[in-house]
Amino acid sequence: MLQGEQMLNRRTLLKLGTASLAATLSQVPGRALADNGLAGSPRRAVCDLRFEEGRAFASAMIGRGVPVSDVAGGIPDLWYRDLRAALLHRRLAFIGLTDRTALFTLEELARDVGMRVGGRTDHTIDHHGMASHRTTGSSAWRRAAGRLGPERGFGADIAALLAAPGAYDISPAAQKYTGPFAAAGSVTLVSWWIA
Amino acid sequence: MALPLPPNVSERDFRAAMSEMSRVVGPDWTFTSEADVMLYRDSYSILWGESEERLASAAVAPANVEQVQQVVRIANRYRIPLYPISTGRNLTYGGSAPTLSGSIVVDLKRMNRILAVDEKRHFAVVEPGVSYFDLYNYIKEHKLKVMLDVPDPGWGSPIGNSLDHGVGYTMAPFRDHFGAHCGMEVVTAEGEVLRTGMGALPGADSWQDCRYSAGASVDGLLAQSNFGIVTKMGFWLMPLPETYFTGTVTVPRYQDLTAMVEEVSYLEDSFLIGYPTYGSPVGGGFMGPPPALAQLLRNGWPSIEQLEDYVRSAGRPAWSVRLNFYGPEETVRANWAAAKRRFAQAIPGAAFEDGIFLKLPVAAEMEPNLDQTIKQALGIPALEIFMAVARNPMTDRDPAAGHADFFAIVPRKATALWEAARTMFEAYREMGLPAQHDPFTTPLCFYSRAFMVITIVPTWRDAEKNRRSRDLLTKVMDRCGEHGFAPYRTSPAFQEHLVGKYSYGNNALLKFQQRLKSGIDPNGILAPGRYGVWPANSRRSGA
Repeated sequence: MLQGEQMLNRRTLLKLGTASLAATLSQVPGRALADNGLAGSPRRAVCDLRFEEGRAFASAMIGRGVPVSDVAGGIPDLWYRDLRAALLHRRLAFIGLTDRTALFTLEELARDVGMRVGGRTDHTIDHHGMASHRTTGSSAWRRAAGRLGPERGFGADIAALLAAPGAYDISPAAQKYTGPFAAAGSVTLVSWWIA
Repeated sequence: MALPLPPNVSERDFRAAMSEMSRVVGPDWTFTSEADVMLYRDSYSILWGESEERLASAAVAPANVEQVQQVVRIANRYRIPLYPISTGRNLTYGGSAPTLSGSIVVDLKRMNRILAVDEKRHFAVVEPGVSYFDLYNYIKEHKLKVMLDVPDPGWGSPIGNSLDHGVGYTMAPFRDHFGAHCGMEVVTAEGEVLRTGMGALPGADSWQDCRYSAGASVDGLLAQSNFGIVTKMGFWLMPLPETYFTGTVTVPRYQDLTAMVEEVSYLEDSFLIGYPTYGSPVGGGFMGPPPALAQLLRNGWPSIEQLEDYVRSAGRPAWSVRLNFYGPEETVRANWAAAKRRFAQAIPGAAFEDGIFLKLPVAAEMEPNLDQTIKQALGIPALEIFMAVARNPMTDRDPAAGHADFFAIVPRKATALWEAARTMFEAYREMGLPAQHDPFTTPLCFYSRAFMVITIVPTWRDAEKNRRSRDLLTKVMDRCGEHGFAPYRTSPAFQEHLVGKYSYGNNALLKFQQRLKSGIDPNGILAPGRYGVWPANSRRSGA
């Protein structure tokens, strides 16, 4: 858990994440079918610490006791050495705030374990630091994500949204979607959940 | 979006067939809901959302060869086409989507055993669901002294990749992945199991030592084809080299490329170097031509004299090539010395620069920091390439879904390279588009004995944009075909158009393949239509 002014970096995050994950897996009774949607707390979050909002997201998730992985360590290691084995054992939803490339690769890989993107929100941050959000998913997910504001700090808000108990159905509209156009000079991120 | 039924199959028969298949593979591995089947859509499809987009009717994931056999027999009874995939990640070439809409995808992901990796005889035997990452991690964990040759991205399967003539980046015998295979096990359209090469001799331990049995070799029939479902495959591996070294050669003049290519070919064909990476310090590469070159190109393709003037005024070498050396340090350094001597003798003004030197294997903590091209050269699978094309941050503003491409096979000589680049340049101009090619276009060398010249077009979630991409690729394909250049593979959207180019002898090759198909798979249940091959009972067959 983050305390005080502890700086969030990959080493900290992995240490906290690994400890939490170990605890999570030890509680898994055995193989079960995937949850139909995102209900209850996710069992893993994926972030990108290169981005300020990614760091905010990660901090918020750690604060909620959700194990977090940074994609900067490489999606191959994250998937082939970690997530895939865990998800084959039990398909529990995982969530993230990353760039589009990371989501694309994880979405393609998730088919291996019968999982798919349930909902996503594309965030476009302009050169003033103001964000616009475009959500694709079920009406419940769109309502929830529709509350995101344009100011900095939406990473933590998304974390709150995804980590809080709630039920969002999987929407095919969110799958294999490339994302909206973004003006030159923007930063594009996407928050998502896979179940 | 409604799922299509298999062609000429009633809903009742389809449901009955799925019920039977479910009893074979298990209900957890039978996918008939729209939500599940849509996961097999081709993310890169250039026909996304259009009536011609290829969609599956269902998918099944068998666990072993026996289940594959049973699925095939059921499909035969109901005349339902199947489309086998290994990992289904051959994006750009169709991915996990079938060639014929309504086919049942046979997802071989559960067949994911690494059956053998022999570090003395240097081979591996794998099942279709094994990815390059899986095999690489296995080799690392067991500290085996062999090196993979991997495609980029590395999430695909050695079986799937090689059967589509996929390629890599190391030494010539290994980077033609199908060329590096030795022995396969195949489920036929009738549900029998055959093994090729020495695998056909019961009790032989030489299945991965010798490709040939007595009599006709059929391995080639299983690549880019629809003649069987491959359930095991052997691959020759490179012994882990002691060291890896790169050296770069530059040459001053535009026309020096001719001699440069000849010297590189000598080194490649003598197995002294691995994949050569050509470049041009005065060309623009993927960034487009520098302003002075762009100005020159406004008036069409420049003359040789104009290009030599351009190079002189740029004040940098016209061409470069990075050479990869593998082996003990003493031979690597000796081979580099020999290469330098030959280049210096052949090309006045050739210059040389030592690159990196690595003892192998590299330490695990070093791997993430290696440049993408070094990872490729060392057989380390990665996924970073997705940043290079459709998901490049520079193009992320208007995000494309993926890309379709055209890797034209070009004779391995400078004049042919220039002709291919000019042909593509002029095709783009005909379409009123900025050219991707210029006189400094460099070749790819995946197949060691040929050049490839590439065109890439984006694919979209927008039908109109996709139509423009299709028109452009078709134009390039047609213009190149007129010059004797054609790609060695393509996405299903272009397969029939492409095989029509290979028309020697009044389409004798395709007709031969069609007749084989009619005999091997008379009911046309295995990937019908793949690369234009249909059984005789299909109206689409010309046989």
